[in-house]
Amino acid sequence: MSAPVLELDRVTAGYGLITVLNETSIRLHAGEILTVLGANGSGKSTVLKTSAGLTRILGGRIAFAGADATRWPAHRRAAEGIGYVPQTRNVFPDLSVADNLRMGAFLRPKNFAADVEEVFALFPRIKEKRKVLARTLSGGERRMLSIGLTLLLKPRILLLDEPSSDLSPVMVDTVFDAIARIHRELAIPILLVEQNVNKALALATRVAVLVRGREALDCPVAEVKLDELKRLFMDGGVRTSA
Amino acid sequence: MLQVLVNSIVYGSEIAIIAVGIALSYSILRFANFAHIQYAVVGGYATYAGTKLGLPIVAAIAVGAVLVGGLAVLVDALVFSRLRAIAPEGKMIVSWGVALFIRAIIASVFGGSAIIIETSSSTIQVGGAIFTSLDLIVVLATVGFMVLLQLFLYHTRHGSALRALASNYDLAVTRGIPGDRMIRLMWFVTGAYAAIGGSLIALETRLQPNMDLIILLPVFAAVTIGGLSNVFGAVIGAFVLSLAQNVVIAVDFGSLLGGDPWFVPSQFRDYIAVLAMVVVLVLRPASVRPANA
Repeated sequence: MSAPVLELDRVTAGYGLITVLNETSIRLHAGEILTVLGANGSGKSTVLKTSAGLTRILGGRIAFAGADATRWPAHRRAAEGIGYVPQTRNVFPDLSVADNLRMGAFLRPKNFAADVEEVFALFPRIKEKRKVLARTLSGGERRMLSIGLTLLLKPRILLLDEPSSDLSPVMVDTVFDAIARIHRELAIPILLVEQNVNKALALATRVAVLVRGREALDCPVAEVKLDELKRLFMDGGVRTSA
Repeated sequence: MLQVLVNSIVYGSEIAIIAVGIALSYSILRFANFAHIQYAVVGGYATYAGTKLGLPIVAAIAVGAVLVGGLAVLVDALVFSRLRAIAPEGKMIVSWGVALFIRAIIASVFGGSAIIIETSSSTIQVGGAIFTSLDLIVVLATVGFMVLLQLFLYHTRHGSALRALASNYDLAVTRGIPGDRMIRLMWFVTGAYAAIGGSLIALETRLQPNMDLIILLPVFAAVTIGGLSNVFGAVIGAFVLSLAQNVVIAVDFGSLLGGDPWFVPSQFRDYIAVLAMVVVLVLRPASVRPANA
């Protein structure tokens, strides 16, 4: 297999004095959608935050496109092409939708007019709402806006944190269709953290499972055994709550 | 009553131009910076020093604004940037310490006596209201700088980036907005605005080391009324409390109650500012809650 686009190599990271990831290793390759599954508190979201530069990294190494990204600040990682869509707090509530999109294109202001039309083509609803404050959007609209403003960065990879959370089933389908389309049309690898295991497995090409901040499984989706997944979740769940 | 309105607008302008900086820094860093008041005082003294060196007043104010903007960036580099991770209350206390330190430096350089910056100002009468040409300049300058700030924050890429950082810091930096560099820009703007406000107050009244205590309460009351992190709310707050102060002082309470004329002593001006703040907080407590996603 080719060298990974993004690699976390035995990374230990957390927030302040709290360590969440404990020598976690994750590899994302070109062309794939890797879904990271795990029980609550297993460190899934922290993998994404650490990749985006929002945590304190205490050990290990992060490589992006062949370069050592371990010490890059968050804004440098964005500039290099790491596109991060958080689960919550994923828009600028006090800015208009149009300004949200403009900030998504902060590093690429020149082609904004043309680029934003691509986002509107993907999410027509966002175009209708462009004059209102983002705080007035529904959960589904916020999710679409957050993915849209991340695409304006022209990312080389996408990190998606639970895109299905708090959405109606119809909206989940809309968002997952959009993710599949982004993957197909833009040909960028996606690191997907999800609670909705069925949706994630239907979309992903490879799956990794985290148990208490460590990678416990890593295999192509076709080879996943559901009982093994279940066992790992229970394992993680029981020990986390202990 | 027209005179009360004119006085309110002039005084409100002086407060507003200082208050916006506190709101701007609060909106991004979530702490009330007490050292901001000293930036205004340093600005006033810098303008005085500039005129002593032979600069025209406008040039002296401009140079002072740039220097104090630089001072605000320096204070951040030496102090606040090292405390980003601590609780807002801690930063607020540290900012008070910075304020006292700057205050001591001013007193040791310029001495404790009052200094008057000489200006030639003429008197203008409109209707029943009397004001000076300096009053007019203060109000026009404030309006101009507020328009400029509005244009910067809402119609430039970097101004919008400051609003983005205030609205959602983590999302902003992961969009490629360089947080630390933008915070330095923010400090420069707040410092420069404070210096301009302090210079206008120095021209209108006089320079003295305890000038900080005179403007502290009205400025913070204005910012609080405006909702702490709302830049233009602080402007509205400044005019609301300025109006409250001037009205309460102008009303003859004695005659209203059918007795001899009696006015609220003007020394109580600042407490009226606090009272106005309390009234607003009680009526509109939501205005001081920071906005969250």
